[in-house]
Amino acid sequence: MLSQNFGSGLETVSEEDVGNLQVEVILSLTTIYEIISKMRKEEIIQILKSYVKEEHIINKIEENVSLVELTAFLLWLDTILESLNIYIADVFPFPDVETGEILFIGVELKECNNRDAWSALSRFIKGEMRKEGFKDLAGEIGLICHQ
Amino acid sequence: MSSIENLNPKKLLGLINHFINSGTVDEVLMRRIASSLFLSLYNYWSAKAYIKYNKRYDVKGRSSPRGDNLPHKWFYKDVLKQGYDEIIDIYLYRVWADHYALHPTEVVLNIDGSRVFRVEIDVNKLKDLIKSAYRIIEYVERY
Repeated sequence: MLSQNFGSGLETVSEEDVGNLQVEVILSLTTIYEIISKMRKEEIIQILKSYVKEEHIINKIEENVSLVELTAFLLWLDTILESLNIYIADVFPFPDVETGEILFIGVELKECNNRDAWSALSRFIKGEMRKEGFKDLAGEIGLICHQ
Repeated sequence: MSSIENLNPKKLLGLINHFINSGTVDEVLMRRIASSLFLSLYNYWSAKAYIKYNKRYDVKGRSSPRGDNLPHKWFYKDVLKQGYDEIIDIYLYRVWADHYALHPTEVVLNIDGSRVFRVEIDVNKLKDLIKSAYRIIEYVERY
């Protein structure tokens, strides 16, 4: 998706073995964030719609997290997951079932079958986010691999 | 006041492993295990965070004489920040165990529409959840 939007010429930032997965980071999150932050809100929402099943949910998401940061994160995550054949199935505010309070923004993944590898992958992804200064965002997003 | 390490759930996980290995886990026990995994992790983190945050906070500013009732949201933020996103799976099984009668069934999250997660648990799934719980405990131990 990213290459469709921003053309080719992408450089590999790093390649690492995570669990038993070969993970390739094509672009830094910061680079993508800088591109997204220059876009108009309508354009950002247009990108988000390709991840969020129900459009009206976007307002609810915005109450909890910056749409610019979230969109940049989803595009960045997509570039990492693409080579692993894991894909983003849905993005939604995840509530506490007892209080209704939104706990985090859930990013539901599909085809993340190997649980140990996925567990290592989620720590890798959040580690990269922290390294790039997106520590708070890392705590606002939950990668869901429920098989 | 109880020692924080008294709330470390490792001993509980050892006991759970003992039940699993002895082949005595029925559905009631399976549910109690699923429920206690989440809450024992939260309790342990809570005690650690209580000290770390220097006892300054009450839940949402409400009166709490000792400030030791920490929001679940903080727990998620902390573990998600470190990439222990497997807490979400532990939570979904906890919701099933405490709120749903059928097995297998579908856990529903309502947020202006609903998200449905199918829940079916067996001993192998339980072992996966326990492995995740150990990883989270190791993080909280270093907290």
